[in-house]
Amino acid sequence: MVGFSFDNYQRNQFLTAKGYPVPTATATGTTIVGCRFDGGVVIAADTRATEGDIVADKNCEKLHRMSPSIWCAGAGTAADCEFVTQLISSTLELHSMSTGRAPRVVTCLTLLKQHLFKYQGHIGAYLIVAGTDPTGPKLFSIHAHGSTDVGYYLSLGSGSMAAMATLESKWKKSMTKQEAMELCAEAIEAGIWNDLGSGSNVDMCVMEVDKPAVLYRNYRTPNERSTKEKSYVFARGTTAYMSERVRPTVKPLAYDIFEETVSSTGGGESMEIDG
Amino acid sequence: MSMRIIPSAPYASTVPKPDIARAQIPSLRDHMVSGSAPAPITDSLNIANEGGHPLQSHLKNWDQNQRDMKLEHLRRLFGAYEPVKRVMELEACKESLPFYPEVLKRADMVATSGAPGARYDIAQEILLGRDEIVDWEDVYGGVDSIPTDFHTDLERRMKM
Repeated sequence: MVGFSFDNYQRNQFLTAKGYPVPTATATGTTIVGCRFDGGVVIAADTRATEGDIVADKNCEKLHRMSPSIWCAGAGTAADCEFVTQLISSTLELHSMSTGRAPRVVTCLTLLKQHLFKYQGHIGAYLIVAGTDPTGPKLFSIHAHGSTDVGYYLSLGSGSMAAMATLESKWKKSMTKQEAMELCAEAIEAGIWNDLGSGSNVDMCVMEVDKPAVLYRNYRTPNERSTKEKSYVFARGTTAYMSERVRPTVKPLAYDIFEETVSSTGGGESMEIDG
Repeated sequence: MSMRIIPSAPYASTVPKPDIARAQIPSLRDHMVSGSAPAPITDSLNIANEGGHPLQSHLKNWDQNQRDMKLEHLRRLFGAYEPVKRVMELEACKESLPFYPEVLKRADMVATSGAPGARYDIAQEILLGRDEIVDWEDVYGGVDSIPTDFHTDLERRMKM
């Protein structure tokens, strides 16, 4: 079967009818925010990945690159976010090569929402799309069923309430880049502390008009592991042994190594490598 | 003509009257000759039964439904000639393609993308507006259909 396979659906229905336990929906946890400022837009995310109530990854990356100046923060099913953004990123690149222009954020938004609508929410990707294009900085959010929002500040994920509380209280219409970065970091930290599904560090991406996007990986690390008070490493020689035999694991090289230095013979300008 | 955005339910609402005069002699399909493996039983069951996953029939009819809706829009805007022209273009494109055996097509796909994908011919893709779209079908090509051998392919094309 081309595309997604539904081969096991009928079997699963049968097993359910027989009384086998059905896997229940898994709650996912994330905090992602986005905020516009004068001349750009910034998005941020926490870095905790969960599998039910287990922390699967303490420093995962939830910011995805759609094009050099458009980035996307994803909440919901991690794999769905990852691959739906990769797929649309490819389409976006093909589109920009076909038109010969830099892709626009609305194009990215439309491609994503149409794709997600087609799959009727079965692709569990909740995204905040942000970027700059010739029409200025743009900020949107998309839900898994394909509905979209536009805003100056947005938050998504299980920690969105905590983040939104911070954004609502501190956001103002005209902000500088540094103010917006601090606000977003603070909103994510609100999610990190008050939402159990979010945690670890703050990732951030700043997109300014006519400048390349800058990714700040681990912009803030409020949960660094402290050193333990005691060391539990045994001192060498704690275990007694009766005999010792050492076998080399790396074969010694049979060749002599000479150091060779190449210097230019000085014929004016050096050769240009990049055409 | 409908303006549906989402494909309608897949099951038939009417049963056609059997045309006894034109009934063909029933026979089993020879999979060795047709070259296509028998469809997975679960697949046909899912489609045939109403109990199939709701998304399955939805996706199966999605592209056709979207195209039908666009053609209907064009018909209302510009008159019947526009959709007729487009469908004829597509048909002409399908007919006029030089004969390219299935086996080679499959080998090409595997060589270029590493996996057999559901690719259309590029001319057809352009007419369908799909030439710059990457979808799951391009990633998960599926491996269940065996390419028909050259002779069967040619026989089918020549309607032998």
